[in-house]
Amino acid sequence: MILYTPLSEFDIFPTDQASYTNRQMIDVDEMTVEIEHIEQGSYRITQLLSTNPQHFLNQSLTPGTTFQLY
Amino acid sequence: MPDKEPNNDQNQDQNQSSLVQKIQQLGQSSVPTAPDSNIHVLPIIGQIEGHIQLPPQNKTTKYEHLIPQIVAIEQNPKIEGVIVLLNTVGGDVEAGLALSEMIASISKPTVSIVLGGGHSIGIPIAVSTNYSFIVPTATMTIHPIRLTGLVIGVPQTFEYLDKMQERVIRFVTGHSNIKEEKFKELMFEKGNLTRDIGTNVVGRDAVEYGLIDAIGGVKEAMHKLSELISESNDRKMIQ
Repeated sequence: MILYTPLSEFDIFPTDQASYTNRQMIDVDEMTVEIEHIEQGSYRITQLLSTNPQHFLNQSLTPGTTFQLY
Repeated sequence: MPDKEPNNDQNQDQNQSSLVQKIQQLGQSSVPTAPDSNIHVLPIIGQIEGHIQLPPQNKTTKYEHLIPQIVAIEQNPKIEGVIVLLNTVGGDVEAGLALSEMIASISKPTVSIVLGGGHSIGIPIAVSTNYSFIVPTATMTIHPIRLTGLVIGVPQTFEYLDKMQERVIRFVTGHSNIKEEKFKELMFEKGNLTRDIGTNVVGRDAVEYGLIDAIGGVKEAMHKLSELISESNDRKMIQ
């Protein structure tokens, strides 16, 4: 299927609201981390927001890491 | 800097007492951590997100995240310089201009590196720093501003967009060595992009046109930044 339209992709195929609500921002120490809910109580780190390069050496906050929240 | 010393002493005292407490409570001390870096990094990646939130599968840079970080960098006396890393396809013009103005108004030395791409609104962000670098393989697409979606009041919107474009041109020519005529020429050039007007400027060409200051990557950027930091420290000493 080819769509020839000036509309943006998101106007034609609206995104699932759940994909927005799955993501959350949390604060860990001085860092802000974006996490994604994968399943019951389990989260995956999607992005680490910090300007301090040393924070990116922290293994436990590497994007992709999964952890449990109770 | 004499005003820093008492603060340091206090910090040391506090550190020592908390260390003593830890040893008393747990019988151990924590592993020493790496010293805090005096250079901070501001990554501008993916799309620059403006008023409309993009679906989460898009990699975006949100200005509401970056602006507080820029203020924190400005406020923190331990941070002496900033490196702005760019790999962006562009995005919201006003959000991009907001970021550019914020970076341009930091009092600390700033250096940018364009990696991969620094397209459309990535250009004002790249030139907003004190010194800019581009890696030889990176490209920057210069093109006129455009808009997708529903437009209410076409003539008004057209004029508004024209003014917005003027703001971008003024910012870029004001913060880089490129001449306004050259930038506009590249922006409205035909035949460079398939079925579109504009120019895709590759690393070395960007330097030739005066858009970016030099070719270089991490090593060059770090070297330049430490040079700028020592210059600004010298200036402070004189004052």
